Order: sequence, then structure tokens, then C-alpha cells
Amino acid sequence: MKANSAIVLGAGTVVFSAFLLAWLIPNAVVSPRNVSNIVLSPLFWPQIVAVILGIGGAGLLAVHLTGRARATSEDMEEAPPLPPSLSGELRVLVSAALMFGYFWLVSAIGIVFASMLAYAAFAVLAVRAVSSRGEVIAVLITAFLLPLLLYAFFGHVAGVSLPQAPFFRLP
Amino acid sequence: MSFLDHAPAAFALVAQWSSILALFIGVAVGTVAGAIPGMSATMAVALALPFTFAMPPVEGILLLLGVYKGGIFGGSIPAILIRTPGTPASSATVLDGYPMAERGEAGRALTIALWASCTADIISNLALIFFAGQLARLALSFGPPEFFTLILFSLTIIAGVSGSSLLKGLISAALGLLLATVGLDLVYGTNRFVFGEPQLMGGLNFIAVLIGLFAIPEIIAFMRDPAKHEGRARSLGASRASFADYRRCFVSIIRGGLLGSVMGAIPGIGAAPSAFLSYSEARRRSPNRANFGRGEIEGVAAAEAGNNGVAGATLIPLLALGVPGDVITAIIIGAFMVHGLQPGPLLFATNGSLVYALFIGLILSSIFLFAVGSVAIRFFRFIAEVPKVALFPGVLVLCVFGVYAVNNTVFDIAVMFAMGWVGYVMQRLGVPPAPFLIAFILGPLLEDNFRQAMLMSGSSPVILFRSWITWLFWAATLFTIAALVRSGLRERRAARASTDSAA
Repeated sequence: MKANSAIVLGAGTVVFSAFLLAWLIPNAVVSPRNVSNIVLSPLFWPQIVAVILGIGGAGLLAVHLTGRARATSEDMEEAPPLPPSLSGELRVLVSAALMFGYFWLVSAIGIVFASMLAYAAFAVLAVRAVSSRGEVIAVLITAFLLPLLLYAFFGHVAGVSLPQAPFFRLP
Repeated sequence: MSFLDHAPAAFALVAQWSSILALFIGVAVGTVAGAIPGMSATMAVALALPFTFAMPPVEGILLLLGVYKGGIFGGSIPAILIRTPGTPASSATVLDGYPMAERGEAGRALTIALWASCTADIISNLALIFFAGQLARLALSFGPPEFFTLILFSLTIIAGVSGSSLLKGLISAALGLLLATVGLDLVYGTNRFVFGEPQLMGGLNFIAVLIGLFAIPEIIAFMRDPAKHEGRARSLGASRASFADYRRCFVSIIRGGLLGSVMGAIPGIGAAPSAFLSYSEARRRSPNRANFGRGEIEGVAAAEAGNNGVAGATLIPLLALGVPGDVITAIIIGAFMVHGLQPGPLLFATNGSLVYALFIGLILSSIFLFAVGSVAIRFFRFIAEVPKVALFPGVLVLCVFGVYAVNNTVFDIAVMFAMGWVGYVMQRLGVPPAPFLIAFILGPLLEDNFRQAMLMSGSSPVILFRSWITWLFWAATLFTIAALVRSGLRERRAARASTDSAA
């Protein structure tokens, strides 16, 4: 399991390095035509970093392919891989969706109301597994109060102009 | 100008109720955050950073330093009481702290941990005060080639010791360097990885990257397995450490403080290796070595002295050279930048009073740590019982407000979330995030110094070997790589031998 993830990481890094060198750097880094020396070109540094990435990935791949059948001390020292958990992976996916929604809502309904909804949604996501009724009530109260307190601090003490809801402006 | 020249102005900066209050609040917040399983000193400092934007520089930086100091000690409380280190630096404390708690001596373990932490903290602060200025004076003679080799050396150590694999550290550092190239080119002003997005022209916001990398993955990991962060705390028991205990551990505490100060001053090593080195040295030299690992009070004292011994010393490379010694000081660099200050040798000349005010504040923080730590030990049960279902969503909301507050832009929130998922994938693949963040911070400096050196020499690489300082850093870099490769090969051989003998 451990060796597999290292092989995936190594292979992924090599592919990413090749992608950087072959396509991304030539297309996404603008270099003036009059650069006399390659070392001073804006392309030079990203190319060097891409080569380092490739070396790191290839090294990782080589180390784990040659020693794949045998356990290394690294494998033994590190924490065991996370146990497979369908509900856990599902919660991770839902978290991703909630974060996307939170980001979108900040612009749509303001940071305070978006935070109230996001707080409640994330708490509900975690609450199913371990929480008591008292904790649920505490969560709902915090979901309401915490964004307001943060709004008071950042909006009025720190003087930050926070995004507001189009339907209700906080003082 | 020396400390004595700056002392009156420095005292005037610290001797204000707002500065002292900021430091005290920082220590208290750090201790509580470090004591909460699942939180860490790094996360606490990252989350406290946005609250310092509206403060004057001295108060803001003192608050963060307080969080740092408190967080490192706070991590020892759950390490001893529930066998869960609050911070990675407290991992060595578990070895003897938890067996003591099982014997009903948790109170004794925690009080010696506090005393060892405060003593080592003072040693570390004194090391900072004595050596930072000297190093800064030396660094004034550094030019671009010297800074380039210094940063290269720092990145090599950070990549090598941050995780269990040099190659994963290298990949992490390279990704950080790559991300640092986003924005306008430093010499020609042309676009690099901007993709037509004007918000990317100035590069990625450092605070969004660091909060994304260090706070969001913890939230995602909690959401994946909410029950994982629960733990049952042992009771404190009736016993407390006596002065005789402290005297018995004194040599180990002083040794741990000195080791921590030396290791903290080397960029990249950090508190966890220092704690383990201090612990193993104490075990090697102690007459009670057979008792180590079974609840030996000297083991707790040595581990805590080792990890707190780095807390002041990590600021030596930060303040004197502008190179962060570990992830937390990398975050603290953000507070300097937000206030328009650039850590490095010139800081002593341009803002000497501020630097020495921080030194005075650090000495004060050891006293506050003693006071706050004594209270936190008694009330740990309440701290540990903060419902995690309320805590982690709260951390997320704090992250969003904090990141937005830096530049008043929603784009930074998107960057934070994106980096959070990058950090989570790295966590799952066992890639350490510390080299990523430090390479991201040092990347522009590394590239800028390299290109300046090339401009100075007409693109001749010989300039990178122009002085004894560059030779010293090249030699240190090669030595570090050789030592890391050798130790990796040795571990591999040992693992193979044990697998073969088992078969």
C-alpha cells in the first residue's frame, strides 16, 4: 500500500515534470526575444525546478520499484495508511462540495451568512458520527455567533471591508 | 549599534500595557490551542496571523511569538494525558510522560514538563539575544552569491529532515519553488503562469498558501474521520514535581536547552528532532537509563527542554539572515512582511529598537508561559472536552475571514481552498508540507540572488564560489546530502536484513 502510493507519487511527478517542460512552461511563461543569456531568461528558473521535480520523481520511482518486495524502515516508521472507509471518502467528497459552495456563497450572500451556513453544514457532516444532542445545540449557537463576532472584529476593529449580503446589510 | 544603545527605546516599546497584553494573550491562546488534540502550534500561529494585521508591529509580532511559545508547551499536555502529542515536537514527551500518567503521576510529569520548558526557553532566548546580532553583523558582508548558497543549504536541510524521505522532501520543495515563480518575472517583468488572470500577476498570497496548506488539510482529515480525534484524558493525580525532581533533571534540562538552541539556529531542523536528540542524550548519560520509556521523569524533562530550546533560537536565522528556521517562523515572517518589515541583517540597522523589543518580550514570555502553563495543566480537561464538531468548522470560518482580510479579495479564499486540497493530497501521500511552504517563501529570494549573481559576473558560475562563505555553504550542502543519503541507505539495509531474518 505504502510502496504503491510512493510509486504513484513518483510516476505522477515524472509525468508532471515532462508536462511542465514540454508544454506548460513554453506556453505559460513569457520570455522576451532579446534575452542574451539563457541563465537570465524568465524560462530558466521554472525549467530548473521542473528538472529537479523530474529527478525527485524518478528517484522515488527507482527506490520503490527496486525495493518493492521488501519493507523499508521508512514504511515501518511512518504511520500506517488510513484504513479504507467508504463513508470517510464520501465525507471528504462532500467536504469538497461544501468548500466550493462556501466560496461561491461568500460572493453571493456575503461572508457572514455564508459562514453561518458553512459552519452548520460542516458541523452536520461531522455530527452524524459522534455527537450528542447538547453538542448539536452548541454547534447551532456557535454557527450563528462566531461569524458575527468575526465580522465585528474584522469589520470594525481591523477596518476590513467584508462582502455583505445584497438583501441585508450588517451595521 | 548594540543592545545597550537600543535598550531605552526597546523597553519603551515593550513596557506598554497593549504589548504586554498581546504577549500574554498569545501565550494563553497558544497553550490552549497546543493542548487541543488535532490543533497544533503551527495551525494556531497561522490562524492568529490575520488578527495581527490591525496591530502595531511590536504587538502583532509579540502576540504571534506568544502563540508559538505557548503552543509548543501546550502540545505536551495531551501528549502526557491522552498519549496524543498536541504538536509533532511533543512526540518524545509521550515516551515517558504517558507511562507516568498511567501510574497516576500525570501532575508530576506536567509540572516538570512546564519547568523544563520555561528553563530551556530562557536558554534559547539568551542564545537569540547573544548571537542574532553577531550573525546579522556577519551577514551584512553577504552578497547575492552568499545568500544564494545559504538559501540552497537551508532548503537542502529542510527537504531532508522534514519527512522520512529525502526524495519526498525534494519533491515538496520543488513544488514550492514552482509555485513561487507564479507572477511577474523579477528581471523582465513578463508573465509566468498567470493564464490571463490579473490577480496572479503579484504572485500567490503567502498567507492564503500557508493557511491552506496547514489548516485546511486538518479540517478535511477531521471530516473524513471525526471520531479519530477523540481521546480519554488521564487524571492529574495528587503528586506534583518537587524541587528535588527539578534538581535531579537539571543537567538534562540545561543540555536539552543548549541542544535545542544549537539545532534551532540551523535553518530547517525544528523542534521534533531536537526533542528526540535531547531525550536520547539524557537516556545515554542517565544513571536511570533502564527506566527510560517506562515513566522516567528525566525523560519528560529532557524531551520538553529539547523542544522548547529551539523556540527562541529559530528566530536567529529569521532575524539575522531573513531565513526562517522552521514552519512557524516562516509564518511569523508573514507578520513582518505585512507591516512592511524585511527580516535580515538590515533589520538590525533600520529597526533595531523593534528587534530588541522583541528580545525583551521573549524573556517576558517565559514568565507568562510559567503562569499560563500552571493554570492550563489544571484546566486541561475543559480544554480537551471542546467538542471537535464545533471546533473544526469554527477553524474553517476563521480561515476564510482571515485570508479574506489580507487583501480584501475572494480570490485568496479560492487559493486557500485549492492549497488545502493540495496539502490534503500531500498528507495522504506522505509528502511533508514544510519544505513546500519554506521553498515557496524562499523561492523568490533564491532566484533573485542567483540572477543578481549572474548579472554581476556576466553569467559566469564561478561567482558562486567567490568567498569562503560560499565554499562553507556548498560544503555544508554536500555534507548534508551525503549524510542523508548514507543514513537512508543504512536504514534500508537494516530493514532488508530484518525482513530477511524474519523470513
